[in-house]
Amino acid sequence: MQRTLIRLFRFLPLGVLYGCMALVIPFYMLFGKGFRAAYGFFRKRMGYAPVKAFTHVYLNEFEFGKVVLDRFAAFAGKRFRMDAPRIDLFESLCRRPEGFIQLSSHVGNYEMVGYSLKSPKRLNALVYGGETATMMENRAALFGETNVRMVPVSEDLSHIFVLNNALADGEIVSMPGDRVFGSRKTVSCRFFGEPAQFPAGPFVLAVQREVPVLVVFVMKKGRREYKVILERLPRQTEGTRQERVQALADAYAASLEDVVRRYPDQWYNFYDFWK
Amino acid sequence: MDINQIQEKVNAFLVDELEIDEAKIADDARLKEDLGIDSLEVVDVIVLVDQEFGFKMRPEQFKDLKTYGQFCRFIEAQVG
Repeated sequence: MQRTLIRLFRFLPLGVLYGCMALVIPFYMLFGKGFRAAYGFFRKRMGYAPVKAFTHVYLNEFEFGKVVLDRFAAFAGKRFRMDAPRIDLFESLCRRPEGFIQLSSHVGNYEMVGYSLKSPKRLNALVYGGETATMMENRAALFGETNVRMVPVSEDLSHIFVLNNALADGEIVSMPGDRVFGSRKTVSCRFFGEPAQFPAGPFVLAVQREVPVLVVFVMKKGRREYKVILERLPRQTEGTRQERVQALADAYAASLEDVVRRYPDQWYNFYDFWK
Repeated sequence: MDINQIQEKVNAFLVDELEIDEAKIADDARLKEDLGIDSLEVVDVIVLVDQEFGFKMRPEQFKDLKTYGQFCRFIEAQVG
C-alpha cells in the first residue's frame, strides 16, 4: 500500500490525494479511537463551542492526513519549501564544537525538515521501532542526503550509548519531548493550565551533559510549504539537578503550548495527554 | 584502586546525583528493579564511569551487569 502511494505521487498532484483524504476523514472520526480525545481537547483546552470543536476535529484529522501524505510525496521526490526565519539559531549552534539536543514534538511535521535541510553537523534522530520497512528505507534514503542518522530505541539500551557518544563528539541528538518511551520517568509541567507528564529523558540528558537545547516545530503553511519555528530554551545554571531539569521541561512545555495554541489543528496526540 | 574505593565513589554518585536511598544499596541489589536505574540513568552511569574511572563502557558490557555488586566488580576488573 505504501509503495503504491509513493508510485502514485510520482504522477499525481498532491491536491488530488488531499481531496481523496478529505472524503475518508469522516470514517476515521466515526471509527477511530482518537475522536473523543481530540474533541475533548478542542472543547476543554481550546474552549470551543460544540460545533466548532467538532469541525476542528475534522480539520485536525485532515491536517494529520496531509502530513502523512506529504511524507510519501517527499519519498516520491516532491519537494517542499521550508521557511525558517530563525535558522540562524540552528546555524550558530552548529558552528560551536559542543553538541546540542534538538527537541521535536507531535505537532506539525517535524521530519520534513530532515528531508529538506542539510545539517552541517550529523543529526542523530532517536526513532521508535515499529515503522514499516518501506517507511524506514525511504526515510534512510532521504536522510542520507541531509546528514541525519536514525537511532532506533533498542531493548539492550545501545541507543543510549549512541546518543551519549554523539553528544560527546559534538553532534546533534534529536528526540521527541512530548512522548514517554524508553524510560518511564516523567516530569510534571503545567500545560494548558493543568499538570501533564513529559518524558524526563531529554531534559535530564541536556542537564547532565550541559548542552544547549533547541526546540523545532515544522508547521504546514500551504500545500507545498512549511514554516520552521525554532526556539532555544533558556538554560538554568543554578539550583539542584532536579530543579534545572524541571526548569528546562517547563520551558519546553510553555513553548509547545504556545505553538499548539497558534496551530491547534496540527497537534497530533490523539489521546488524553493529561492522563 | 581497590573495591572499597570504587564502592565509595559509586555510592556517592548513586546517593548524591541519582538520589537513591543509601539503605537500598547492597551487593545483590538489582540495578533496575531495586535501585531504579533505567535507561534514563544509564547515561549518568556511562558518564560516571568515564569521568571517575577513566574508561568508556560499551553497551554489550552494560547489559550483563544486573546487580550493584556485579557493577562494582566490573569496574574493579577494568581499572585493576
